[in-house]
Amino acid sequence: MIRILICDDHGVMRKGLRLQLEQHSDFEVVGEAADGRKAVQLAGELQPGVVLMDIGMPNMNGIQACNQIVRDHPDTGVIILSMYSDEEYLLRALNAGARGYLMKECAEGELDQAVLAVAQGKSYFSPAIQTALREEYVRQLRQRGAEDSYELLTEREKEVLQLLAEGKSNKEAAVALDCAVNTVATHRMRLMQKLDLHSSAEIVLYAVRKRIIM
Amino acid sequence: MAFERKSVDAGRVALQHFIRDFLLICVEGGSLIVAALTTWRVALLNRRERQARERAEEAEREQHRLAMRVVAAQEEERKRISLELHDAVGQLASALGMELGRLESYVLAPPEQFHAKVAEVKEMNSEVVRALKEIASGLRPAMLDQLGLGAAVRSHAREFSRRTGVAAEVRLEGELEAVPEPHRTCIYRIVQEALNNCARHAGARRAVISLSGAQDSVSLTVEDDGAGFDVRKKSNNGLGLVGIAERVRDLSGNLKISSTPGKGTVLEVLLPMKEVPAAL
Repeated sequence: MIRILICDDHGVMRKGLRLQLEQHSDFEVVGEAADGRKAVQLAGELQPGVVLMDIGMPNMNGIQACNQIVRDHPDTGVIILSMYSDEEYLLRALNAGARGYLMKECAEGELDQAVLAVAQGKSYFSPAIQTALREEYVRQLRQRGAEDSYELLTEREKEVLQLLAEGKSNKEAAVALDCAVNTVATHRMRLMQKLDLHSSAEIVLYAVRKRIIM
Repeated sequence: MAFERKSVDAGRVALQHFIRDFLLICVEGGSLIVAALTTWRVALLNRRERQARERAEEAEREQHRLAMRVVAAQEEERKRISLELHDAVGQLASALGMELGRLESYVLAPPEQFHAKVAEVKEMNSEVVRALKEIASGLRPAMLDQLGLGAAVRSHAREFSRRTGVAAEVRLEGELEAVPEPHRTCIYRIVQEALNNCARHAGARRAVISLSGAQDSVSLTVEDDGAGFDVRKKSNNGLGLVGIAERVRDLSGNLKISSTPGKGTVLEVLLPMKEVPAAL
């Protein structure tokens, strides 16, 4: 059973989400919060496996609430529910430790899939935001007359990129690739240099843009 | 002896008379000169006062003209928003309502037809949401309040670039998430206005926006490679620039615009801030 907490300041939205989630036999909605502070409190009390989190809420917004929940309960997966496909939002959500980003307009069709993925420790990003990010990325490359630097990566670096983007630590990536942690760290440094990335969140953002992860 | 004394006395009297007369003349003449000077001075002061008054009146008229332009622009803006709401959102929502009504008649139709119809209605709803989001974010981006100044400026520059084809580079430095209201809005609106000018008047190909946040101030520079203009010419200071100057003045900030025809424009703003709490 996957235990779910719903956080949104609009009652209609909470109701819609609850109705849909309850149709799935493996999902149980354990609580609802209408603001960020309540969300943090309920996440502590109820220990849900997955939190659905709206961004624009009174008393601490969803990004800040996500940050606190992930910090205090690393096993809880947070899915950000958003109206916006702007990469600034995704970047901030990733920085706050969210593992999923779901466009509200796609919620109906993708909700089950997103909850299942995040409950299993994977990540989920709406294809709509992937498309938006991808188009913007291509436009910027064209405008700058730059080439996509992905092809500059070695095969090993591509593998490391994928593992890191999936949320694995250097250590976990080392185990998966059967090599030393230091080797992973070196690959990581090189690929960040080549792709001009500066944080873990930017690695994930890049991977989403390139459709390296879903 | 007596005669001598008499003649000396007479001489003394004459001298005394002369001195008295001389002094009188001097005093009268002096009075005349002083009077003339005073009259002249009063006239001068009057003229200056009149000129000052005229200048003040002219300034007042200018301010009134500007205020009227602001009012007109505001009305124009309202008209535009109303039209957009009515045309884009209103029409779409009405159409959506009609489609929902028609959906009822599909209740006995074959499932594929019913599902196709539902998909159509959903797509229409997405259109309504898209239109609303576009209008709302044009008025004031939610991002400015939710993610702060840096993210909002970066996002606006990207959107601007996409729309106009002008390359817009954003350089962020220091603490920008903590920039409080109304400084946040002020800087954001100036970036909007400056970029608009780049594309609309300057025909720039490239703009660089540098934004830097410190503990007690936030500074902005917008630089473009466009046509530039003569800063001294009053007619060049359109409503947009006047608006920028007013916003900056209201926050006791500093605004500097340097531009030469043919050599691009640099706009610099520095806004002082009181010490702000650490988090947004």
